Amino acid sequence: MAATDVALRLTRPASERSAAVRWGLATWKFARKKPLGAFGAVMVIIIALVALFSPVITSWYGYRYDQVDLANVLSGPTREHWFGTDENGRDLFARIVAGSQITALVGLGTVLLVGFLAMMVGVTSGYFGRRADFMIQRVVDIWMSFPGIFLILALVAVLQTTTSRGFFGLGRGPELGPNPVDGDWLWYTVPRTTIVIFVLGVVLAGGASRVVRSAVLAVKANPYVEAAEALGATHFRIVMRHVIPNIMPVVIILATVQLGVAVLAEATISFLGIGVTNFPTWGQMLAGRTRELAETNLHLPIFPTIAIFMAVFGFNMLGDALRDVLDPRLRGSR
Amino acid sequence: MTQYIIRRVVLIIPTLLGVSLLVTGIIRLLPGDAVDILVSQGEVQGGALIMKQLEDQRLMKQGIDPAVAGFADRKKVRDQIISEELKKSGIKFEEATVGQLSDAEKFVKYNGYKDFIRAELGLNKNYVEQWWSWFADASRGDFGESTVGRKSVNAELKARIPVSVELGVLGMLFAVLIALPTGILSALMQDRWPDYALRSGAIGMLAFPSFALATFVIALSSRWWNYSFPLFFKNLWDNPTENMELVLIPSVILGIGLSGTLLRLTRAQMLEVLRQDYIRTARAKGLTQQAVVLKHGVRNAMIPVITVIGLQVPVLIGGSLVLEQIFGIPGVARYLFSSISARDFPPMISVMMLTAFVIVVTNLLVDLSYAALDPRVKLA
Repeated sequence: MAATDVALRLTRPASERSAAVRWGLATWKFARKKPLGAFGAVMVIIIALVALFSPVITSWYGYRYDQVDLANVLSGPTREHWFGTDENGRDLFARIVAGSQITALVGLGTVLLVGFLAMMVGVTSGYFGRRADFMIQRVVDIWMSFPGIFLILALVAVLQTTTSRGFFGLGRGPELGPNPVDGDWLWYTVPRTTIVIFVLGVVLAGGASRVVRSAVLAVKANPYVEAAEALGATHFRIVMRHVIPNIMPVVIILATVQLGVAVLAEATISFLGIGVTNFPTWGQMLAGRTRELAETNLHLPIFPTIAIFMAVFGFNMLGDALRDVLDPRLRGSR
Repeated sequence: MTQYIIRRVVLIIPTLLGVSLLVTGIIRLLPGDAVDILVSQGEVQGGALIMKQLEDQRLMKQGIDPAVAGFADRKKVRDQIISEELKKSGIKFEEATVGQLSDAEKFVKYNGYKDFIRAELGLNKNYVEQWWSWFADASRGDFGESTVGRKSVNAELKARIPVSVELGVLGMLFAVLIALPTGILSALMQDRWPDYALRSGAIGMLAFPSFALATFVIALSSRWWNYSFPLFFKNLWDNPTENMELVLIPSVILGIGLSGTLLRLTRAQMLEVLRQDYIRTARAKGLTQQAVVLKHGVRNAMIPVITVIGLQVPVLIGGSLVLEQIFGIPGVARYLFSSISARDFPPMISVMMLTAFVIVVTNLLVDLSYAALDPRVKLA
């Protein structure tokens, strides 16, 4: 009976279906048409879940990311240590699970910030046009003339300098805070994670604002905007009701693509030894003595690399598929 | 066209000025400078001397000649200085313990010492003055001296720029060599298995961090062939073989990192071009597949690809940092990295401005090449 019920529901015309069914069908269609995109979506969900339930996973697994197992220093993957241990006897699986939190936080935070900044700048510039557009675009020129990674390095390094007072009290790492108790460690990365998110967001938003601006220009040329103007709608109303909803597909695609870029950039600065240094991150796990020890202990670089690769690959695949589905004009670009 | 070029070249100047002011602002307005890094809390040298100088300053302010000031006068100003320091942490001088008093004195000496070094290095000037003192010299081609070590930035750059250029040019070359043939092949085999394999490979390349690739190259080559990369860098003109031994692999890795984007674009452009009417015409008049693809297809597809190659320059510069760091290649990016760690202002801003200049100029060249290659594009 249940089966016929479902079949009946599916064969009904689209207008009669409930929202949940429509969403389910759309997702199924997306997965059928874009298997790689669906794979990317699954990756995003997996990382989000692992990051969200990281403390639960580690406590079930039995090792904490900073727990030292001196009997098994540099052991390969075993039943006890799934991904092996590093030169300090710390469990790699636990460290990768813990590191997923930083990846998720930085990825999500950066994308939200990039989206927000790019929309503010891009919509202002594209909608008001003329002189404002010219001035804003010259500022964006300056913004984009910075060698991205250098700016990120300089900003993160300078922001993290712990002076006697700290920067907005942000420069303080755990070394200055009270003694952390079990499970509280992530809280102490908040200042550093905030700095990384802030810097990555600001640096990446320059190029993104150009994309938003061109989308706004395209939307603005539509007769419905002119019609709204003729009816006496305010600028605010036109922007909120007509412009922003219509550039949303572009913003969503941009956000997905930037997610991969942000995760890769975070891994790179962690690898270079700045960024979030007081918590395991995937990039950091490849730094330090890993390169020297990798010759005889290949598990050391392999597992973090797989983690980074799967995350960025998934995000890129999802972004590609979304681009094909949401905005056919952009197909193959980038 | 000429007018356009002139306008763009003129626009470069305010852009670079803005970049330099912004970089100075970012580096200078935020706390922490070279002195903070140089002087760690433990090593205050000549503390007594610093204290005496501070006392002298204050005595002068109160109208007493330091040379004739008595012990009581000195004791008074000394207590003033220390009580002001204690007040910052909310302790009254009268109620302070001996430990707090000695800590405050230590802190006064420590800060005095740092201020002394700052004055020596010219770091006590305000942000506009510092920017100007760098800019005035830089506009004449002299990028100044590094704060740490007092070395000429010009000499460092002169030694390092050729190294970075070599790495960058080779990296770009490999990127093009990998991306163009595979991109064209992928387009010709659209939606067959080689196309899928190449495209997945390209997206994979975008997702594979170059530092991980470098780690595996180093680890596996020593594991399988017992090979290790040279520890010291030799200049290309001094010792070409040893130079190549160190630079070739990093530039291939750099090229692989860049090729993903280029491959995808080449494929998209080829598909776009192959759909055009003139390709059908070329086929209809009986040209061979080779002539159609190479003469009519590739030539037209290359226009946007060439411009995107130019737009990849910032990515190239960023990517070379990681590889210079891993392989120990003494390039410009590594210089910047070490000067960032030391908060060394002159080299930091010099390298940043240099790269900003390269980026601005390549952007201009990209736009111009677009017009030059595609007669339909008119710049105004």
